[in-house]
Amino acid sequence: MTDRLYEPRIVVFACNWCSYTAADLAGTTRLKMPACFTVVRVMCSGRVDPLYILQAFALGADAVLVTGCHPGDCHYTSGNLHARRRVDFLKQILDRLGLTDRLEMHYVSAAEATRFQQLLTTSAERIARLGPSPLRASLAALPPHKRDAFRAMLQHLAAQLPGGRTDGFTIPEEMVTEGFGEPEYDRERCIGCGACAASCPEHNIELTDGDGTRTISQFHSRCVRCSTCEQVCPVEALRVVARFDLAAFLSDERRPAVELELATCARCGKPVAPVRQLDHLKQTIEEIEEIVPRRDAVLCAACHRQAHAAEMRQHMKTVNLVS
Amino acid sequence: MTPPARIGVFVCHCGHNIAATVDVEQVVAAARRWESVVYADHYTYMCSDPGQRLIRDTITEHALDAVVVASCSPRLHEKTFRRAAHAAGLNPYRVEMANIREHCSWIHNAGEQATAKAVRITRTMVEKARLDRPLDDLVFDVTPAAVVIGAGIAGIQAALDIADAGHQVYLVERSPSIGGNMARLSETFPTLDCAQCTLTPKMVEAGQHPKIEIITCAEVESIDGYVGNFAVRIKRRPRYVDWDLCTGCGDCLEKCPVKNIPSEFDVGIGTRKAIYTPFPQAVPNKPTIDPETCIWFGPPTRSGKKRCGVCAKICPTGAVRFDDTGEVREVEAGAVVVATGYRLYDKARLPEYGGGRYPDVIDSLQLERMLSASGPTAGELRRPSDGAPVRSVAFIQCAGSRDVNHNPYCSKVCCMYTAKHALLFKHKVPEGKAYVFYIDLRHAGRDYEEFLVRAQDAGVVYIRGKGASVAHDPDAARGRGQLVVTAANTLTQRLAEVQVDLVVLATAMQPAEGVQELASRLKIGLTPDGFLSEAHIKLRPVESMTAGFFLAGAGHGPRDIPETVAQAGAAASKVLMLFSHDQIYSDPTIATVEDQDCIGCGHCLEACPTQARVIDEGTGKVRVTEALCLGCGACAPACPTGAADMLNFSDEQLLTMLRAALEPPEATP
Repeated sequence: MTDRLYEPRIVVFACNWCSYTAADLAGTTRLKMPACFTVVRVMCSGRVDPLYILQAFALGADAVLVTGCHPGDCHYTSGNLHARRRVDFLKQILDRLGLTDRLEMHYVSAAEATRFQQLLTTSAERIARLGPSPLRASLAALPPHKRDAFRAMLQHLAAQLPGGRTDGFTIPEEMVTEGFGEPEYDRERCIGCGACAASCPEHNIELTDGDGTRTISQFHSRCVRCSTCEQVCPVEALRVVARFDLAAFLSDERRPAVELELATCARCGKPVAPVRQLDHLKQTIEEIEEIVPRRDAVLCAACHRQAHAAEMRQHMKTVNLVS
Repeated sequence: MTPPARIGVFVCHCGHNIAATVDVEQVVAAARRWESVVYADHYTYMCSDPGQRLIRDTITEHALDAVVVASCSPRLHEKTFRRAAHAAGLNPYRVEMANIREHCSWIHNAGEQATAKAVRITRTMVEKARLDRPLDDLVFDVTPAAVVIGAGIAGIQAALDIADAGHQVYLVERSPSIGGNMARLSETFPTLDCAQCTLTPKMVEAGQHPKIEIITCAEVESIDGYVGNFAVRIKRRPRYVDWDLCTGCGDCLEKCPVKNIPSEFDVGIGTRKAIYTPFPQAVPNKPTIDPETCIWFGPPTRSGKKRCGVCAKICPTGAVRFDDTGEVREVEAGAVVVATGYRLYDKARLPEYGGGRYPDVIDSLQLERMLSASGPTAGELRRPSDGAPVRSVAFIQCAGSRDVNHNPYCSKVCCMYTAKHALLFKHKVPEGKAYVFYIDLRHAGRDYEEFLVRAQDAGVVYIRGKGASVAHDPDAARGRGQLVVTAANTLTQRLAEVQVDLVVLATAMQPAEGVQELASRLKIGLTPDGFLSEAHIKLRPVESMTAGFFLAGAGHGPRDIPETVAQAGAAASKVLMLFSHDQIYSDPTIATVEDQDCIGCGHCLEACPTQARVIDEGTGKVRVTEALCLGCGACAPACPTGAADMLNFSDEQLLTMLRAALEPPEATP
């Protein structure tokens, strides 16, 4: 080994209108910089997906710089602010995983060629001293669904990083970026009807019946905070909140949210529906009771059909339609 | 889509600019080893005619389906090479530039590292080009008609300019007449010509213009569509008079028994009747009934009969329609000019100045009505409290402007109009006293500073000090005003106190009422102060961020009449630019939605700066309005499923480009 400083590999995302132009100007003014970085041009820093940053790290980048216009200068008004939010969000996760001080976001105006040069030079020096990223093995293939890809990438990073911790870590609600969250159930109100599970476009919420109990559970990593469940819930028992819990996100395990007592069929003993749902139904149809035959016993769908058929047959016999 | 297999790489020397630092032969040699590169070569100047010819000929000869030019910044020559490729039959959007000059040869020292970096940059762009899709420019038809919202001087000017060029204009105004705030003004700075003299001819011209349809008592309810193709719903309130039948004879105005209703136009200084035209020169000069005060709309008699109805009885053409319910109509337009104007900050929010407390504390528009020769006092200055003649006036500037407790910004025109007010007062009451309390005097503009000097020469007393308070002294000695204005005179370091008959507050200019709701209906941006925001503060000052919307007048920020007229003309010229073609073309590298992956969560809608993304009510999935999308790509990272993507800046492309950008350097053979 030589005593020369390590030559890092740095990826710089630059927006077409400000920071890329500043980099151009740095060239036009012949400002010398270390050659260890590659600029990836995007129209707006708002285009930079956190997934790209993870990809860069997984491929062995020693640092990633996201650069965009100064606040208020964005060609598209607010793309740089979206970028900032997403970078800050990801940075917290990376910090926790042990990949600290390797992701930066900077505002560079089209006129700030010197600033671009200084940023690159100081970052290169700093990263060189920090040494190579502990990540070297890249991920062969990414799952097609972006959320799955994001999780796979985080899992990949977590597995490779020695000092990283995932436990007991949540990101403050106001810093969670779009699309991360989970439904928060009101255990007292939920009737266990399962409308949330049926409507979830990401198949995140699951119902499991067993042992006299219905469990509603969800995977934290799959919720995209679309709030469909919140909209369909008939009893306003859930609210979708912005949330990111690293351990839960990486584990991809079901998290039970509500457990409800199941009513069983009076005839066959199979589970029918949560007691609370039946109560709710009873209440709801009370006004139209006269048109609904009242049945005190709880029956499952199959037994209900049988019982109804038997009644019909009895009725037809009485009116002499069948013998 | 199968990845293309035939890419041509053209490495430029740029004379010595690249070739002296980067070993172009090595870049070519590396490129020749890459999958799907079927041709690679270098040349002294790629942008020169022979260079471009080389590209064109190679495209034909090698049947290339994508091209990467490794030379300078795409910001410089992307168009050049796209045109060249297009001439050879290649889709221009399959041409990419690898910036090995500004981002490599010019900033690094000659040697292996620079060459390795040039290879890396070129490879990254080859990966992008490999996955670029051939695209066609987006083409939209243009409906050459404009809707102008707000018919003050800005709206009128814009409407006239557009209509004079031969295009249909719908001029929509909320109040019963066009004219706006300018119609209220007495005389205007710096020339002291009367506002009516300059405005009324324009109002009449707009009213008679064959290409302008004035729709008053109306507001824009909604706008659907996109630049060139808007469907604008205009809702007209009931006027209770059929203007097609009304001849404007004014008999109804004479006979209406409901008097002394504070006039909106006169800002409460004058009165009107229940059936009224806001001012004598109104355009259209037809009356409107105010249902709030009209007896007909009040409770009926005990026997159930409607009371009054005199106007209907007297009307010679039977134009009064008590059953008018208004009207909603839809017009088609290609562009919208938003000229919603301003209102004054409510003086009641300045209790320290007696605003809303003392009748003799008025705002500047009220003073304008008093000063106006055709106004309610016929130009005579009298105290609103008791009608006594005004012999002394204090003007308090920056009332609600440049004050973090009210509005942080400068209202810009108050310094000038206060000088005008003081001067007009001195003209009317030569022996009278006029005091102006100011923080700074801002008289920038042609003949503006001179105007200030004129006011000062006329004997107006300028006191540098923000007005501290206005108190009422009912026991003031005869002949002295009852209002006591106090301020710290920061020039003499003493307390200044004057007793005056009338206090005029130069209250801040604010966006007109309801602009916030309108802006959210129209989906155009506002500044934190609530003014309409432009696409770029310097380079696109009359365009909204949303394509097809243009801004004019004080709704965009405090400004005076000359500036407003200039801006209205600029907005009109932008509209005419749009109308000068039957079709408009725009960049096709825009956002997309993969239907099968979209779950309609709407996160991308929040990231979109132009409301180009909407959730389709039928499918529940997001749809991109192509004409509105600017191609920034902020939507795509917001999408949790990967359904939102960008054409030619796709997730797949960027992830692959990163692979190339981070590829360890190849061993040189």
